[in-house]
Amino acid sequence: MADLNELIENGGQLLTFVAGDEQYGFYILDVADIIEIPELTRIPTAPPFIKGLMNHRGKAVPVMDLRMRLGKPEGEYDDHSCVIVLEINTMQCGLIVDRVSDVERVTPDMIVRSPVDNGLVRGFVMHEDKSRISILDPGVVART
Amino acid sequence: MPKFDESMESMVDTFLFETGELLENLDEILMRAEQAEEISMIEEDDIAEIFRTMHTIKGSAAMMGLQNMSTLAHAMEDMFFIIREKTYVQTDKPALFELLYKSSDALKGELENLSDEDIPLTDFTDLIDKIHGLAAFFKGEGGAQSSPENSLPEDIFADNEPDDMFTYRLRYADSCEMPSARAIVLLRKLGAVAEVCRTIPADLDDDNADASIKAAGLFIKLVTDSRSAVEKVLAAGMNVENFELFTRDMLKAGNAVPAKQEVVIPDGVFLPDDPDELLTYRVIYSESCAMPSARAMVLLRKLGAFAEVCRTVPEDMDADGADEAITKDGLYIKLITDDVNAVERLLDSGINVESALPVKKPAVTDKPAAVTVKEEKKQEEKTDTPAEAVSEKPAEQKKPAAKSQKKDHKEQSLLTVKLEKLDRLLDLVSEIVITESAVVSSPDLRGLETKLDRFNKSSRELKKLTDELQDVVMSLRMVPVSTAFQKMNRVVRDMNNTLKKNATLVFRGEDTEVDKSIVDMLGDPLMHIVRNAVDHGIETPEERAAAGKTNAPTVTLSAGYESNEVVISCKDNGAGMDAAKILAKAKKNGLLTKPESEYTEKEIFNFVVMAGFSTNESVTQYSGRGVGMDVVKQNIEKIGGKLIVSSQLGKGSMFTIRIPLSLSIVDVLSVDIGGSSISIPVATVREAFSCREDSVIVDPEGHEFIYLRDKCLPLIRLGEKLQLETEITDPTKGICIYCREGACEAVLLADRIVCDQQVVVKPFSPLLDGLHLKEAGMAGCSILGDGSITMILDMQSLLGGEAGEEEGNG
Repeated sequence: MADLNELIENGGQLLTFVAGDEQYGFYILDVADIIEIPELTRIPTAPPFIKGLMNHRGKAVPVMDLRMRLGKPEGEYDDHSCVIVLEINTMQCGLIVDRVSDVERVTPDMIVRSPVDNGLVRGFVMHEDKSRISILDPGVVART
Repeated sequence: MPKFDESMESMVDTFLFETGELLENLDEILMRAEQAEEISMIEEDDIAEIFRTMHTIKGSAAMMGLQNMSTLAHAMEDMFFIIREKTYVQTDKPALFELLYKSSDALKGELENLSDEDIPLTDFTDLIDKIHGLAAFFKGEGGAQSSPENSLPEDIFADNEPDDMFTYRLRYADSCEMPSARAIVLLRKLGAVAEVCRTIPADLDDDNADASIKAAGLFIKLVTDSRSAVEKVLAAGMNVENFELFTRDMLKAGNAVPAKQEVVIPDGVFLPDDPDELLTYRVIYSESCAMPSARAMVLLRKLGAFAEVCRTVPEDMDADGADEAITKDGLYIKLITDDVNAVERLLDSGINVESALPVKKPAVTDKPAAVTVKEEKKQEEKTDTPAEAVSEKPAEQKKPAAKSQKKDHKEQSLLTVKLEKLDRLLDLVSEIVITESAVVSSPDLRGLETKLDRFNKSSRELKKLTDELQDVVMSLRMVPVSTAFQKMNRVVRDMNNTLKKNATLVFRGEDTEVDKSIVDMLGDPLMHIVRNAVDHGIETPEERAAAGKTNAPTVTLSAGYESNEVVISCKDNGAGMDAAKILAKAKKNGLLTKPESEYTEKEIFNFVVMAGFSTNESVTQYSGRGVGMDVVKQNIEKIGGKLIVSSQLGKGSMFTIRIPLSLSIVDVLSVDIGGSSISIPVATVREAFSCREDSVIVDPEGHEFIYLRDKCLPLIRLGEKLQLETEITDPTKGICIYCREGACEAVLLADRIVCDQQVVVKPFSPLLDGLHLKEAGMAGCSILGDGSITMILDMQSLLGGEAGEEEGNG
């Protein structure tokens, strides 16, 4: 897993995407893949935000609905919906998002740190004319 | 504290592997060599092999900076030098092999502890001293270590010594047994009136301290305000015969030998056409460094980062004489650099580097030479105990020979590959197989009008190739079981020595190939079983004679395949087991679960491997505590294997281990529950049946049972248990599967059976640990040939947790 502090301190590239009408971002080095929503196998007894397992290149990778993971209501998937595959300490995890927006280069002065320790959101990128992007901590998001 | 230099980190694995292999190999040779009646009769090849092994271990341990292992290996090497050159006058074979096995075990133990940074390096001094002692005995030196020479130590006066430091020389009376102990007391007293800077010998706790004090006296270097007070203390010291103030002049007078000759710079260090910017460094390695050439190579590689190394003297670090040349004259490195400081820092920090100083062309000035002399002196100071210095000499003479042999040895056609890489390859190949079938049977092809003859032909070809590829890759992990068997030789040998049962160990089918992980796992259970066979199975020679047995006591280890299983058995021709006795004992220990008369012979013998059962009345060093066999059984079962015991009274017993060919492949019965694919391990499935309405029993508390052949079994609706939506909740509509795991049994209800198949179990991603899927009854998942995923049930928690669950739910 790339160190998120590195992004916050030195800046870097952010993969931004939308989940439930809000902009979020992952540090690009944490992202292994972006794929269409594959066939998912339900995991019995798992909570609803865990959508199931996908066969990603021969590995059974858990997939979560990011909207529900962030406590938002469940929504329909459409053509723009896709799975962002994160790589966390050699383990992989898929997150279903509404759509992927962009890859942006951010500098440390654009980032405002979140005062919460070990929270889902590590910081925010503030734009004057655009909406706010919340930088997510992949380790915290993927942990169940 | 890390045990390795940073630069060595990457080599740890290789070192562990290679040294481990060598030690295994060594045991084998030792065993063979021990067969010889006399040391002089040991095959020369074996001696050379042992010698070479120890030499290699010494070298690589020294390279890793593991001084303790290196020195121990060195001691063994010295021992075998004596044996090889036949310079011994007397021998003691049992003692020799005892020590050799001990050392080999010590090295093995050390290897195991290496990766754990919390365990400090073991001190092998005891063992090393014993080996040296035995070596001395072999050479006819009566075991006593050579005493230090009766000359004055050379390093009494350091060059940078302040003028106000006094040196006293004390002589103890000859009758004083332990002057070092006296000296320690004396020094403590001196502390009150003076500051004691140094003593010679430096370490009074050292074993050789007494001898050197007796020979040359004790030198105390101190700074004080009151010389008279000091002298009073000294005079009052117990057993002190006399003392005197020692001066440099006295040292010169007392030492006939001139201090130290000038450093000889070997030819070729300074060439006439060397450019001026070429710097020359002289690196001296400490004498304890076994293979300075190896160190030098590492150092030179590191130097490459800061400097351009043009030349070294000696030139070729691989050359036979390199070690000696470096030990004698030091290592000269000629280099060009922009950053002199970095180079010097690096040189100074090199492992075992005693000193590293720039050397200038002799013509320019004499001063550097003087400096190096000083360094040489310092080096002398650190010289190890006299005994070791003596043994150093033979070690050097034989080095060239051993080295050339080592080179031949290295050229083998085997390649060591990291298991991770192999597993990655396995993963990739299974991906390819899945992708291949996805391509060939793609739904898109079905609608095509055109004929696909050529495509079909190529795809058949592709399938053939991928299948073969898979087979080959699978076979890469296969190793012969002989590696696990060989280790047993040693176990039997050790037991024969202590128990005097003279059991012979015979192998059958040891070239049977099984998965590496199985071989690794087999080691422990096999050891227990073999120990058991020799300790409990084989009778003492007297008992054998009494029973009229004339055949040699034998333990046979055999291996082979049977359908999809590897079968490994250990058979002895010993006393066998008495079924009646075992049953009686099982009864005594409260192990019976049904009436005595219902036990079959097979069931009775299986008591032997149950927890809390041991038939041997007396507890021996090797077995008999009633633990062990049950652990063996558990360990084998953990990987899906079985342990079967059979026996015939008076003829012997047989322990058979059956393990599936590949550990991760499991036979499952796949069922469908509301569209989800769930797989039940076939090993636990007893029976699948359609249930009649009248066999469903509901008790007043709402518990549901299925009545099946005189048994009342709890019903588990898989859909309900796993929270899967399904329309089939009536046991008569779905399919009932009677499962049993250990003592727990139940009837599982599924919608329908899909198929039975073999799957590769993959554990769930650790990211899902928070879901406690195992507790919920799932062991893992598996990706099927068509790319879909099935859940594999954990029968233990599914059936075992049943009672608790019911209560919780109810």
